[in-house]
Amino acid sequence: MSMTMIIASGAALILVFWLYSTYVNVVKTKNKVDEAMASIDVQLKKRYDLMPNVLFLANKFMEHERSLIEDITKLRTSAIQLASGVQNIQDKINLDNEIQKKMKELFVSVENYPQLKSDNTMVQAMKTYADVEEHIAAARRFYNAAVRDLKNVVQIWPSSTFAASMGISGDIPYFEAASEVERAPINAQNYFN
Amino acid sequence: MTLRRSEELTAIDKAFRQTYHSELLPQLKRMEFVRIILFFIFTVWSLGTIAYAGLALWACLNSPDTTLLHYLSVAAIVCSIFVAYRLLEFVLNLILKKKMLNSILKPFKTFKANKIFDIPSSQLKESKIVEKHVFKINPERIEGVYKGVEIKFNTALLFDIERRYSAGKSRTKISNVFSGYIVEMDMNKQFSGHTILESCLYHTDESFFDFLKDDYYEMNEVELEDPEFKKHFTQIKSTDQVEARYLLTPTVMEKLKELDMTLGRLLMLSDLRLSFLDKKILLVMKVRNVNNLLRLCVLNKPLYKQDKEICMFKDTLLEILEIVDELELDEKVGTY
Repeated sequence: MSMTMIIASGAALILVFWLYSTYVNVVKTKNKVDEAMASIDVQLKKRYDLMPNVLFLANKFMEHERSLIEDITKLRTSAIQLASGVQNIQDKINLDNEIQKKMKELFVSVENYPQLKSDNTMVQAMKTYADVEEHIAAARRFYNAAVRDLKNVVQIWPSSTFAASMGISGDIPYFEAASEVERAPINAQNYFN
Repeated sequence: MTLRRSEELTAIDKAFRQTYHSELLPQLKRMEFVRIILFFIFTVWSLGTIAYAGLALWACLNSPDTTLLHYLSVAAIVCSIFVAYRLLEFVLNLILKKKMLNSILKPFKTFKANKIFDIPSSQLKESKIVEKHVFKINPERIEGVYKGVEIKFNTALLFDIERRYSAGKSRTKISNVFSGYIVEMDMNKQFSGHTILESCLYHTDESFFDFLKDDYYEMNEVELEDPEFKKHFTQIKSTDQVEARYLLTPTVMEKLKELDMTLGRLLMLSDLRLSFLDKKILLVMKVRNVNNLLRLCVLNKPLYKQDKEICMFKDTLLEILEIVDELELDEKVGTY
């Protein structure tokens, strides 16, 4: 075998290896998004499983918040019925933000019911809920990191060519805060008027 | 930047100052004769060595057969002075710790020097942040409870034995692979995964063939949002990406950065490693200079004038306890 042949086959081998590793990277990144999505589902399920306990106690004591409790119950039912997977991600984000907002409202209202506020089961449920919320936040961060990686892969050449040929799209939304209002800095004075 | 100190730790600090004047200082004065004896031995040794080295040098200079090896031997004799100093200082520290450690620990309430407990090598290996070693020495073992969190504090010297075969002969080489502090703390949260953080590019048993091992793919790199954090902890790996982020919230990341800076400066660390596994946090702190490992005193200064050295010992322990406050390890949360 001539030297030219050896060099050519060596270069071809390197090229094949490079193409393969790029392909592997695209697949891995895509799978990471699926994994992140699945972990969000797991954490959200934890929240949905915990919510009936909180709502049961709230329903017992909070007579003036019935409509809020009903809203939360409806939202929970819709969220559970929503199929898991990337295709429903936008609906999931919207529902999640809505539930989060309503639950916050509920916990603020608990302050007006001293008996409920001092109830041990409620206190424990609220602590556990906060813990679950932290897990959801962590899952969101993982998901956002995975989506960012996928967007990079889809937009940067040469992985973008592979992604396009495999029909992988980077058009997946980030899991972001509910609204601009929630992101706005808090003005403490509003609470003292 | 320093970490803010809780009321409890400020109280310990205050109690330590009182104990220092009422108990430690009189004890140090009583122990001064030990230092004088050891310093006398050192002085005699040094003078004898210098005289011997001087004579040897004189002989080297006047002999026509002198080789470089002879001069190196003279240098080695002179170096033995430093070795003797370190050895005698080590002995003095050993005696002092034996007599006074529990008095020093008195303001720390539940903390006691304990020769019985051990952080087993198997546990260290499982943490994946400690060098491969065959045996270990733990000169100091301190154990106690702070805010309900059980803390085990070790100074550790880890050794590895390497056997080499060449020309039909086997040679055994014992090398010190780690010198530093190992701290084990209870955590209020039970973890199903394993997360590690390392401030250096260190990996246990890392080799090219690692990908053949079963657990190679279990730990994945955790990409966090804070680039500054990445500068402090160059390796962040976990078996559970969500759990790692649950643990490393932006607030905890800020605290760990501060911790890395504070401990690094105070204990003169070369690197800091953390492992979160089950309900335990393992902190591994490698020191740059083994002589600084929980040193209570130096040989060439009267013991009762060495408040700085003893305060350094106290500050080291306070920094360890501050981790409990900073990472809020005492706060129990609802388990799901």
